[in-house]
Amino acid sequence: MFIFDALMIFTRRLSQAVLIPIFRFNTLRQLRQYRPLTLSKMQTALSLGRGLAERVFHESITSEIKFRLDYSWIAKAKPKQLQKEIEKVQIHNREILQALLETNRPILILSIHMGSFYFGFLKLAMSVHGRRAISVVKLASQTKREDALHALFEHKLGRITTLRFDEDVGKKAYLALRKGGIVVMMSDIEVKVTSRELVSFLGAQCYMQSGPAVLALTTRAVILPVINFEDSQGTRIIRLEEPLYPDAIVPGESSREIVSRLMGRIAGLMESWIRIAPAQFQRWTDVALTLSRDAVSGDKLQEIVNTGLMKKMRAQDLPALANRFRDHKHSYFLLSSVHGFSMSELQVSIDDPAVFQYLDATGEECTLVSFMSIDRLQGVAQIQICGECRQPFGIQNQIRKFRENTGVRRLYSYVFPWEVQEIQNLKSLGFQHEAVFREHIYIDGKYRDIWVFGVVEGDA
Amino acid sequence: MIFQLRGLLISVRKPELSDIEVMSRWLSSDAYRINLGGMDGGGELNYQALAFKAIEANANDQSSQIWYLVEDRFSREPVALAILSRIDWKNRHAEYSHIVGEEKYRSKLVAADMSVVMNNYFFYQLNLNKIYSYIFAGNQAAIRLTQFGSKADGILRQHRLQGSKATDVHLHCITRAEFSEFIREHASGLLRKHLKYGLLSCPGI
Repeated sequence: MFIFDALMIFTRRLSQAVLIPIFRFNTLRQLRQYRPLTLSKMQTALSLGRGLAERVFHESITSEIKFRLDYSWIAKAKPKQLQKEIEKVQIHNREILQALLETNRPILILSIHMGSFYFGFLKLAMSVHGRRAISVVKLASQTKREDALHALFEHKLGRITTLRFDEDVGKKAYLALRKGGIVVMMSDIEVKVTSRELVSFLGAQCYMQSGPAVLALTTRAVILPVINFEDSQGTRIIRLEEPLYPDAIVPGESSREIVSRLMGRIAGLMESWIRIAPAQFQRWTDVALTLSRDAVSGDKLQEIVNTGLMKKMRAQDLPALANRFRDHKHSYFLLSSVHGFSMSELQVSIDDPAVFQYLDATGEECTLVSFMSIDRLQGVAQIQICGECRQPFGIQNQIRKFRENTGVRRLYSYVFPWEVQEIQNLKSLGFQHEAVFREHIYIDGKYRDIWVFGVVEGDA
Repeated sequence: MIFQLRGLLISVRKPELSDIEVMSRWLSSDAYRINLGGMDGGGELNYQALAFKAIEANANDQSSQIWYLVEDRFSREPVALAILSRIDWKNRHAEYSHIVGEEKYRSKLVAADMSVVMNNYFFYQLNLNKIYSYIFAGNQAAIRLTQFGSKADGILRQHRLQGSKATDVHLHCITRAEFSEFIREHASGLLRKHLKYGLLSCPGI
């Protein structure tokens, strides 16, 4: 028996040693078009150099391949071998789960694509004593191998139900939680989701699927965030975090506010997990794609961009723009102090959700329009218009659509007193001179004023 | 070195952990929520956490805001909070706001004394060049403080929500030169006692 076990371990290690490089090569080839974007977002988010980012990217792909190999191995492993592997997994903060089980509230266990989810999940499932039903949301596409794996789970652990990841998965999870069960699911930021919440994640504003928070709110389930990772000795660890409660913390807190609060916490946890072991996080490409999307309202914004003589500002337009507005007395560059931005105004604008270039009839860029500092809660946003306003109707139309899509009721703009062209543009668009920030910016040895122009609903 | 400022009626220090209770009481009061809370997008729900964050911000050298606790100079009772935020060291300006938390002190010139003492500290100790404030249109008490040197620089129309209604926000500001001028102008009257007791440090006066 001992020889057989040793042989199995040897075969597994050998197959890993052979298969991982092959799969990694294949995955890297498939992801080659996203690689520059992913690396650049990783560098920004984690403050890494190029070389280190490359290394993390490679290790992240290796981690995903290991996850898939584990998955195949679990499906084929004999119960005793599986039991041995599961016993090696360490649970940190087990008492949190025990305390939650005593409350009789439904529990939504939430994790992300990190480490070896299945080993951690099986360890957790085995430590849930009692008669609570456990449902696991199926993670990959519907394959025969996966069905076999889940059948194995059900056979081995009895109480586990598989919820297929189809259109009704939310409904099934809802029903399972309503019966007081435990549902296990993975959550990631997604590029294309309809139920989503704007959160702060890895130094940027982006959308994250709000499904887990909505499920918890509607079923009064407690969210139990868990992280799977391997420590430096290769020990698989599953760590339970403090639970998140979907209960109002102040009287009158609306459902929307609760979902927003929960998603903020979940996003914060995910960020901290990723920072603990970035190389074990398996969805860097998804993260990069999501972080590079517009934060305002993706599809609607695209609709706007596609109409009229305008185009969305791109990073490659930066040198031409810098050349055009190189005069450092231009408000476009020198507004950082007004907002408290720590980076240059130009960088803010490029990353900002809505920067448009207007083209005149000859196709030459004539005006640059940026919407920035969008505060949806207060319904105010800043607009900066640079260059000659040859398309006032187009810009007015743009402002109208922007307001309709974002719910912004007031727009304001900052200009220097000497920017005659920009002031003329704003006046022609119905903006009024509202206030002066006296001596606000220090340029060329003098404090300079900044003028504020604003337009509100109901202005002509 | 322990930070302490003195005025005629008040003394100013940095808040301590033991002040969290009184700070959270003020931060949850209508006076704060109506006149200041909206500035940061609706205010914080957990006022104790907000008070704790304030103390944490004070301990952080990189923080762009500093909170001060104002006490009655004689009874040592905490009466108000002064907040210096959005500090821009490069352009040497910052936003100033305050809240007189104890209601019985609201008509006792505490805010005026505080305004003079704090401005003196901001301009001549922190070496800032300009202090500005955003004031909601309905906050007449704060608007009246323009008598103490600051100027109204305009109104941002419907800039913030108070409840569900959009309200105008007044922009007030005072520069270092204007504050010096204010001290010179009132040296023999309004600020006579401040100067007599050495509470102001304007150069050349």
